[in-house]
Amino acid sequence: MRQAVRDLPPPIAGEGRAGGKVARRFLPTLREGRRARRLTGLGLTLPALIFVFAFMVYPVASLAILSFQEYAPLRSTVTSFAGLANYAWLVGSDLVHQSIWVTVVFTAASVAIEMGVGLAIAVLLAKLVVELRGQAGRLLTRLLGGVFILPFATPAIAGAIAWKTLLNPQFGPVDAILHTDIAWFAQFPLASVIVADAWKMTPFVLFLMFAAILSIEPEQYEAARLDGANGWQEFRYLTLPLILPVVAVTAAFRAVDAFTKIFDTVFVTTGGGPATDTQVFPLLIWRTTFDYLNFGHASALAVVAIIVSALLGASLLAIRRASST
Amino acid sequence: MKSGIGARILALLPAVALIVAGCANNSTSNTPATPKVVRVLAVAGPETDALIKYAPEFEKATGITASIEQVARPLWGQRKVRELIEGAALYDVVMVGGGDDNTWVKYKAQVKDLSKLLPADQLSQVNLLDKFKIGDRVIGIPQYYNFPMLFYRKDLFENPAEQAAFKAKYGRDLVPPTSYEDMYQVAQFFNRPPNLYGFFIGGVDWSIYLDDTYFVYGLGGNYGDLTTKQLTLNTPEQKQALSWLGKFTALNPPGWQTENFFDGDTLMQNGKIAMYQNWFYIWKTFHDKMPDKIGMAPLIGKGAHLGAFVATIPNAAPSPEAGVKFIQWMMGATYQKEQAIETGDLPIRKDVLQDPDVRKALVGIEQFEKVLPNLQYNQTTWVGELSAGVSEAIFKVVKDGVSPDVAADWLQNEKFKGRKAIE
Repeated sequence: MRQAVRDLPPPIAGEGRAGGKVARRFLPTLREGRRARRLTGLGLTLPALIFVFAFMVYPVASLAILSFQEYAPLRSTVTSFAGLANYAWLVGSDLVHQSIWVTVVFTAASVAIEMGVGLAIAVLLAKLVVELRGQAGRLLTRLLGGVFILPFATPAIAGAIAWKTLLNPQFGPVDAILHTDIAWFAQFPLASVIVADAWKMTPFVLFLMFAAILSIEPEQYEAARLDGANGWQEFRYLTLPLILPVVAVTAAFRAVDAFTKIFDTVFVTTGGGPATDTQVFPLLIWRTTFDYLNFGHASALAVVAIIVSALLGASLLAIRRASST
Repeated sequence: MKSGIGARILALLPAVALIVAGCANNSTSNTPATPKVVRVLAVAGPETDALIKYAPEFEKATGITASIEQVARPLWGQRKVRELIEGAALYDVVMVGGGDDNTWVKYKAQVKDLSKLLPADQLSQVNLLDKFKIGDRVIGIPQYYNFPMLFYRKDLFENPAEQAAFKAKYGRDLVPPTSYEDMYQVAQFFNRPPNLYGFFIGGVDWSIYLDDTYFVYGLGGNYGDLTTKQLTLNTPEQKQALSWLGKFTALNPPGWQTENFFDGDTLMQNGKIAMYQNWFYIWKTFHDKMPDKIGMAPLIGKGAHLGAFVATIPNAAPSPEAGVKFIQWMMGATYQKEQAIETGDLPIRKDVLQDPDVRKALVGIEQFEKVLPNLQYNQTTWVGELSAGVSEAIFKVVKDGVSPDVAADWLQNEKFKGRKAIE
């Protein structure tokens, strides 16, 4: 069809009538071409649409429907309509309130640490790259880059086991060095989990910040120095404003991730304890599903997690939009 | 031209697939009805490893391929329910837990009555078969028996200086305790932080719940009453169990709140604790590595938590006859003997329990035999949720300073208000 359109004779000056005849002759072909293209486009998109529907829309819709039903197979094999009962349970449950609070504190603290430490190291690393030119500088930068990426590249479970071993009050090296017998995960459970998570995720922030800083034109720094700016002023009035959109997007992204996906570290290090002191929201959903086998309650919890995730995601998009205008 | 050939080849593929499928269907229709495969749902662990190791013997004897799927413990719960309640029909044999699953399997699961499918002479050999019966129906056959025991520092208990000091302080001999009061005294005596702690109880919810069962069953209680089908979470036994847990956790090493009984194994091997209660899977390791250092005694009281994988056949099993053959092999004398020697677990058969080779291999079998008649299982149908609640109640006592009576009443009257043991 594309061939047919290409074969149309070019309009010739002074041959308006003749050209009109040609156009009329080819008009149905053009329409057919457009329809065929549309059908081809639809056909090509269809597998992706089916995929999205089957693996994204359908499960989420099923989850939403199940959240309005009572289904706990160990109580009854019958799935019955429960109205808002699962959400009423959620609103009235102390366990859920505590879990949400723990997750909010965890998210806020870990993202703050990751952003602060990640940004600080990124600035120092960027300074090192700029100032240490030559073979040795490049080598050192690569070495540091490799070292910093290690925690991020370590599987979460392995990292959590390493932290549990490090902070073991009986056999752990941290207490041995400090000459203490502090049970970190028992005495400071949430703080310990936050540190373990921040250790793993800080490199992610670091490298995003690092890339953002390196994208700033060196001439801008030279100009700032000519104006007499010191290191802090360079950071405060030049680096930070220029990388602020990246900082905001990274923080929002990490917040979504931390709120909805913190599981492995808690599961391995504290198991959600002592008692329920570190029972984060994803762990509560997992327990309600796989331990308590109460799928109605678990679905309501999962819907709330999706809503929180969507809200945080929407704020991320808003930040991006605001930073691009 | 090339693409045209490619397209034709691609177009032919479905036809080829159809022909192959057709041939496959023909071939199956020609074969006799004997099942080719038995699909077994099991959970990862040494007992399942033993099943897999010796399964070729079953395959050789029956011509049926044993496909034993090991799933991780967290996934096991949902899979069992999918098969036995929702009728997913993926497996011919589903292994369930003896101590925690027995009640819901009895009351809720859609399983075959094995009393009608297994030979009477084999069934008569099974120890404690009544535990797996509801009425006359046999809902499953245990693969082995395992249960908790008390492990103690034998070297300390047999040390003359320690014995003399203990006698001087308490006026009696330092021996493995036979009452909770004795055990508490011994734990207090050996509590010498930071080098040695009197006792260990893992605080992670599933682990501390298990310790709670040791005390509850030991005191003669349970979590539900099968006659009234009501919860029994604030009985005197439950309150005493909470009280003992509060006392013993005070003699634990730091960090116990986020540890489990596997950490107890490490602490014991490193000489950090004087006593703890745990499943006797660890006995083989202790005995092999440090025979003079660690001793074993039966748990105190009237009962111990039943540990076993129990083989059931779902009503919806694709090949129940293959499942029956698999269970027959599993409960047979040959495999039971091999398994006992391999894993250190007790065999389920009365005759194999008397086998000289088995008795020689299972060091401490006399101790195990004392506990065997006392095995108990949780008499509720929703142990997962219950155990988390029990863990919450325990931490109300040990962390928040709530009295055991108030914590037990909270569990019965608030946390699980309106719930029943058999739902």
